[in-house]
Amino acid sequence: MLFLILVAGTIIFAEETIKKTQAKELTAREILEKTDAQNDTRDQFSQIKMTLIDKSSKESSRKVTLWTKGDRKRLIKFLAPADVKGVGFLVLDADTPEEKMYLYLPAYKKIRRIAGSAKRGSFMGTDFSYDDIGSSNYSQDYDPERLPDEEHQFVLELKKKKDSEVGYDKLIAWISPEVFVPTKVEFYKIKRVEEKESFELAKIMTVEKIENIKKYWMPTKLVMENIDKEHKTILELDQIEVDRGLSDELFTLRYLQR
Amino acid sequence: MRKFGEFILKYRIFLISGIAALSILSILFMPELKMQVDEDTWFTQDDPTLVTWDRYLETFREAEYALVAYDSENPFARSELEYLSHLTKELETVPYVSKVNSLTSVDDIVGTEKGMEIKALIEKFALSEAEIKNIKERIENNPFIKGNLISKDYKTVEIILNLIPGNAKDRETVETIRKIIGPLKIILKRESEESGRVFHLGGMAVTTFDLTRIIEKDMNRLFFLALFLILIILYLIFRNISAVIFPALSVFLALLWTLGLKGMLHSKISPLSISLYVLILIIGIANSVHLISHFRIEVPRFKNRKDALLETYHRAGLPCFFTSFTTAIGFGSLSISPIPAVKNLGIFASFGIMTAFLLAMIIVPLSLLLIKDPYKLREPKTALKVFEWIGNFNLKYSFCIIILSVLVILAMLTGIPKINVEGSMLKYFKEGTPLRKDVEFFSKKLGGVSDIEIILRGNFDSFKNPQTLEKIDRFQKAFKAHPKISAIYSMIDYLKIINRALHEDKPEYFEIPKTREEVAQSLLLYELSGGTQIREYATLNYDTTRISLRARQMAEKEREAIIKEIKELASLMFKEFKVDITGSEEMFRKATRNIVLTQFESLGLTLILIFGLMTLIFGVRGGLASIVPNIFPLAFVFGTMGYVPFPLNIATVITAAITIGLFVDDTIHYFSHFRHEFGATGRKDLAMKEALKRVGGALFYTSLILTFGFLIFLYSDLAIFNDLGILASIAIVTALIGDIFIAPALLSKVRIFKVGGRK
Repeated sequence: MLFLILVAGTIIFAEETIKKTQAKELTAREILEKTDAQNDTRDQFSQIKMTLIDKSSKESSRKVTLWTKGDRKRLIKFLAPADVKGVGFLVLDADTPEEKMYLYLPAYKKIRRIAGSAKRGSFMGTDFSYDDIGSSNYSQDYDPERLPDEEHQFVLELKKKKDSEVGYDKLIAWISPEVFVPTKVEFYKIKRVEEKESFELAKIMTVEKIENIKKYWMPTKLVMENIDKEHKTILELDQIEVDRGLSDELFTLRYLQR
Repeated sequence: MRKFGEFILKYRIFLISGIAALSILSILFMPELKMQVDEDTWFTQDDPTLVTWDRYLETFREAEYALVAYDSENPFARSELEYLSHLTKELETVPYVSKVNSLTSVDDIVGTEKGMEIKALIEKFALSEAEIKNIKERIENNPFIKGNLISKDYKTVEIILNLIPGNAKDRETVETIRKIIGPLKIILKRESEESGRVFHLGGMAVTTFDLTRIIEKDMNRLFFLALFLILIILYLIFRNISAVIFPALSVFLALLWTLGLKGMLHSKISPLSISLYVLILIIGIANSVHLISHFRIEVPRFKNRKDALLETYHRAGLPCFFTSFTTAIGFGSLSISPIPAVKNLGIFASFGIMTAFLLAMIIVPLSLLLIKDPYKLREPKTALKVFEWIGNFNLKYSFCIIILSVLVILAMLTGIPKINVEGSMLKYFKEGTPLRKDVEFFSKKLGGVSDIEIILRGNFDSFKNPQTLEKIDRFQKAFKAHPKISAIYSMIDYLKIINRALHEDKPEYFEIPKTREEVAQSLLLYELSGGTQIREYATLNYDTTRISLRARQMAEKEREAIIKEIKELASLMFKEFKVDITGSEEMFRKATRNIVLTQFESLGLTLILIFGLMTLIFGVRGGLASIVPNIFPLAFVFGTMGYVPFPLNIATVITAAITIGLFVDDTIHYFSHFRHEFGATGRKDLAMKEALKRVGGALFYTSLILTFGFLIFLYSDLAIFNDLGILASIAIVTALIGDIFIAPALLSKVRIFKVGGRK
């Protein structure tokens, strides 16, 4: 019996050690690529509750339904508050030079095409940017470097590539070694004092809940804190369905108005 | 006072060690001294003006800004646009800068047939004539760009830096402002050297930064000047190194203790605190001059120095106490001011003056025991002759002197209504300093640097109601044509631009959306398109909004009038909301009010206390008589302020209260001697002349020290102190005239004291 326990113990210990060594041996780039691959869904449906909280703790919330197909098609419909109910937002060829954005405003009974810098700003008035929300593609925009692990989490320092257009100069990401989902990301901007460069913390994203949906690990509750503005957004994802085989019909102007 | 002297001699070792210990303690507290140059200088923490201002900044954090501008003959030329883009990116690296808005970074909302485009106003730098024409048209149609990022004549370019210091507590500290404006200035200096452009800087943070720099420079310079002055004067009077070093040490330690106490109590250094350095040194030194002078006279009459010293305590102790005390009363009266900087100056200067008295009474006499060679008494023969002549003159023309002085007093008093009050922080700076020039530049070419903010507070979504928004529009229109208002912005301007863009940019749609849903969806559209600037004008919940008026430079009366007009209209139109008026102009207005209040209250209190004290010393008739020679310098100061003019500001407001405390000393000295002589002889004329001969020289020397002392303020880089220096010098000189001409003339005619009266 004792022998068995010892053997089992040794095996568990050995496994842990192997896991740990394997994890330790992963390069920064490998970790980042695994993270990027984590949410490569074919399509996705969810209801998102967005709670915006300002520095005086005033709250404002919105509820939307989100459909995505691949990386390139997105449809958002507003459910609440009442005065924007029915507003639809369709993005085609997202993140490409051919990107097209259409907005349907029921009060004006019109579909308007929006062009230009919309993407640069925040995601629907929240503290998240489109970059934060969009399918994560860290390895494309950042050069990673591994920092010492913290509390069994990989810690990566991501420095913006020279030719990248992302909004932040440096990120520090804590990534869960089990599921390769970032649990916390700090966003930094370069500031210069007397020719000395330093990084100033601008935002902190914390993932408060991760759920397993089909084969994907997805963050379902995220908090983004904007340090400068003392402003916070909580995103809660609900009724998530993935890889349902959504029809292309959904991502058309006709459906946008419905 | 003899007993006091005996006490000091007996416990001298103990006292000296005590002084040393307290001095070391004071040095330890020096690092606690922090500077404060912003609105907290003017308002106490619970002042409604400051509370409203803080609440405004809490609500609209991004409302703080710094402005950079430069002239550009052809701002749309390729090289100019490339440069502007380069500079904009450089400025983004400045700490605490959240956003940099310029022609090359600003977004424009454009309506097209198919839809709407939110794009950079300027997308490329090589522009054809037609493209420039098109951009100019778009600028004309966007109130946030025209007159804001480019002047109306298209010759001056402006860059707006939105500042968000890390957290609320950081916001007001000088350290944060240094971290922002320091690097900003370095970048601009380098850019100026490289590009040959002249940059202009504006905004509250810039003013605060410049003020801090000047205060640091001034503190050192004025301190050393004052120290140098007292060393020279002491040497000229006594010609003995010990008689220079120990008195100087006593006032230096008094200053050290005062600053130590200030540090211990976490009282901040305000621009006004600079004057502490000069005032304590210059005023405090008078005690030593009196003590040493007396000792000089007593030494030959006594066998040993100890007895001479005790006699010195006996004779000079009480007058020194009284003169220090009246000066402390003058400063102390400032402690009732609603302006914290003035109040603190009053408290700490009083402390410093009394400390200087105490330290002089301990250190100077003890040092006299050490001096090898007692001083040779030099007969001030010339002075005696001069004052004898003045005495005869007074006797001969006493009526003329009295009539003339009454006429002068009346004439000078007519200047009082002409006195201007200036509560603007800008007036700290001399004319011609870069900051003043820059502010004038912004005022003339762009919209000015100061603002008036109207904050409306309602309920959740209050400001999505089209009727309410229409009212805001009407309110804005009422002030649009005002000559002192360069621009008015609020959230409705965004709504109009969005509405127009939703209707193919047709000018007739430059209006507020008609329904609540349209408003809400326009706002959503704006946010979805990445727009964030509207947060500067409305909160997330749309329960609070602000209407921002950018103001040109204006005089106090214009400011008072326009703010009154705004208040009246706002409370009439926005009855259902809580209306707050704030912004730099409103702060200046309230500061101005506080200055006037300070002047009345402190002057009133000083007059009551000091003439109360005079009545106690000299009786009712004596008290009343002492008013006349002292009204003369006061009337002169106020008349000068009205006629020259010198505006009443945070520094000049203290002139009257502190100078009365000083020049009443002369009156005390003269009246005491007169009473003594009159009591002995019963003859007004003789007493008048004899008293003049005895104290005339001392009055002259002390006035001389004080006049030169106050003239040190002319070396300050702060305009307000130059004014203070001139006015205080005038006060001291005219007070001397009052005490050597008017008071003697009066006393020689009117019987005030009894024969054989108290000594």
